[in-house]
Amino acid sequence: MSKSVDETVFDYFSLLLQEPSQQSEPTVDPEALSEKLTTTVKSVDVIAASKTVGVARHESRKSTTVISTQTAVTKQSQNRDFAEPAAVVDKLALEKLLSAVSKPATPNLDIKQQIKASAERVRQAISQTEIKTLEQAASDRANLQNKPLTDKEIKPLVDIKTDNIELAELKEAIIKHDKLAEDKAAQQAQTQTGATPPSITRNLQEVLEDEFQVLFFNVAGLTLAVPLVSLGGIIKIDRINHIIGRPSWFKGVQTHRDSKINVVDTCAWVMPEKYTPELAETVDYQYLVMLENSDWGLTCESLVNAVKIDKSHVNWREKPGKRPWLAGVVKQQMCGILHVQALIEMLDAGLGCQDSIDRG
Amino acid sequence: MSDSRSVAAVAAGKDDAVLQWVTFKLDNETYGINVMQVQEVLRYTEIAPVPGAPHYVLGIINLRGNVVTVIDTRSRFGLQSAELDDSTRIVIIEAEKQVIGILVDSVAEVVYLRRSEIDNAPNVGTEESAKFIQGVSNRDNELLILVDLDKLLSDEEWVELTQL
Repeated sequence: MSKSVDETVFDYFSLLLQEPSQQSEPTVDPEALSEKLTTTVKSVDVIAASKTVGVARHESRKSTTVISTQTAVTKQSQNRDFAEPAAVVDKLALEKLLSAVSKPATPNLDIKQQIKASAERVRQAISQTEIKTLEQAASDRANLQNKPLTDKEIKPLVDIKTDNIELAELKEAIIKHDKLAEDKAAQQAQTQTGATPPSITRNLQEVLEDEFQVLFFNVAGLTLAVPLVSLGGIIKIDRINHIIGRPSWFKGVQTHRDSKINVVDTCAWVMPEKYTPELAETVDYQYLVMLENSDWGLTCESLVNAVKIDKSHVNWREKPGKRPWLAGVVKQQMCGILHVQALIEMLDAGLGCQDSIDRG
Repeated sequence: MSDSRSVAAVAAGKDDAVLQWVTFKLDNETYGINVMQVQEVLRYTEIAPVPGAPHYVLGIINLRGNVVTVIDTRSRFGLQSAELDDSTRIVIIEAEKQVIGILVDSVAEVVYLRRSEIDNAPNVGTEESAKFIQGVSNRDNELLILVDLDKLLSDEEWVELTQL
C-alpha cells in the first residue's frame, strides 16, 4: 500500500503488456475499439490541421494508422479470436497512452522538424519579401531623385482614399520642403565658396537685340566696352573716400546725391599683374561708369564713344572660364565687352579679377 | 487710427535713436567714434616709447599720474605715417574696460546722427582692419566713417596691452 505512484503505474502497464494467456484479459469489442481509435486519430488530425504544418506527413501517418486498425479489425473478424487482436489493439492503445509520458515517437519528431522547417521557410520568404520591398523602395527613391521635381508624380504607398485637398496640401508641403532643402544647399554652397557663381553670358545675349549700342571707355591704355542696356550712368569723379581694410582694387566710396558709390580701380581690378605703382601714378581717372542699378562704379580715364554694333560683331564667350565678367570681344575694335551682371556679382562677393569663382 | 500712427511713430523714433560721434581726421578721411567712449582730447605730448612693445603701440604718456598707452592709429589702419603738427591730438578713450590714447591728425567736432542715417560699409574687406568699420554715413555730402573702438584691437591684443 506504500507503493509510489510511479511504481503503481509501472505495475499497471506491466500487466497490460502481459500476454493474454498469462492474464485474463477483458473482452474488447473490436468495432468499438476501432471507432475509438479512429476518433482519437481524427482528433489528432484536427490538432495537426489546426497547426497547418506538416499536414501531408501527418496525413500519411493517419492513413497508416487507420489502415493498420482496419487490418486488425478485418483479421479479428475473420478469425473470430478476440484475444489476439486485443493484444495488437492494446499495444496501439498503450503506445497512444504512453506517448504522453514517454519520449516522443518518431512521427512527433518529424512534425516538430517539419514545423521548424516550415517556420524557417516562412521566415526566409518574409525576409526575401522584405529585401525585395526595401530594394524596390530604394530604387523608387533613386528614380524620384533623378527625375526633376516637376516630373514627380506622388503616389500613395498604401491604397488609402485621401481627399484631393489633403493630397494637394501634401504635395505642396513636399515641394516646399524640397525647395527649402535646395535653398539651404545653395546657401551652404554660397557660404562655403564665398560667392554665388554668376550665370553664363547667354543671359546677356538673350537680353540684347541683334543690333545694340555699346559705350567704349579707356583705362590705362586699355579699351573696354559696356552695353548701354547695362550702363547705370556716368558720373564725374569727385572726392573718393578711402575705406581702410579693403582690397587694393577698392578705391573707396564717393557720395553722390545722398547715395554712396563704391568706386572700383578698374585698372587694378582688370589687370592687377600690370598695375605697378609707377603705372598707378600715371593713371588719371576722370569718370565713373556705373554698372546697371548697382552701387558699383568703374573708374575710367576717358570715354571714347557710343556706337551701334551687331551681335555677330562680337566674339561671344561660350564658357565663363576664369573671366566670367568678360562677355566677349568686339571684333572690329578688338576690345573686351563687359558682362555687367557677372561683374556686379563678383564685386558684391568681394572677388578680384583673378579670384576664381569655383575656388574652395 | 491716429493713435496707432502715433504709437508707430514713437516706436520708430525709439528705434531711430540719435547718437553723438566725435569726429577726427586721419589721412584726409573723417572718422567718427562714439562720444560715450571719449574721455578727453589732449594736445600732442611727449610719448615715451616702450621697448619690446607691439608695433601698433607708440608708447606711454603720464596723464595726471596715470600711465596711458597710446596707439599708433595710422599704423593700425594701415596708413602711412605722417609728420606731427599743431593739429595732432591724442584722444583718450575707454574701450574693453581699458583707458588708452589714440593718435589722430586732428579732432573736428561732435556730430549727431540718427541710427537710420548709418549705412553698412562696403562688405568687400578681407583684411583685419576691415573689422574696425562700424558703418558709414553721408553727411553734408561728406562721408563719415564710423569706427568701432572695441574692435580696434583683438582680444589677445587687449590683454597684451594690460601686460605692458
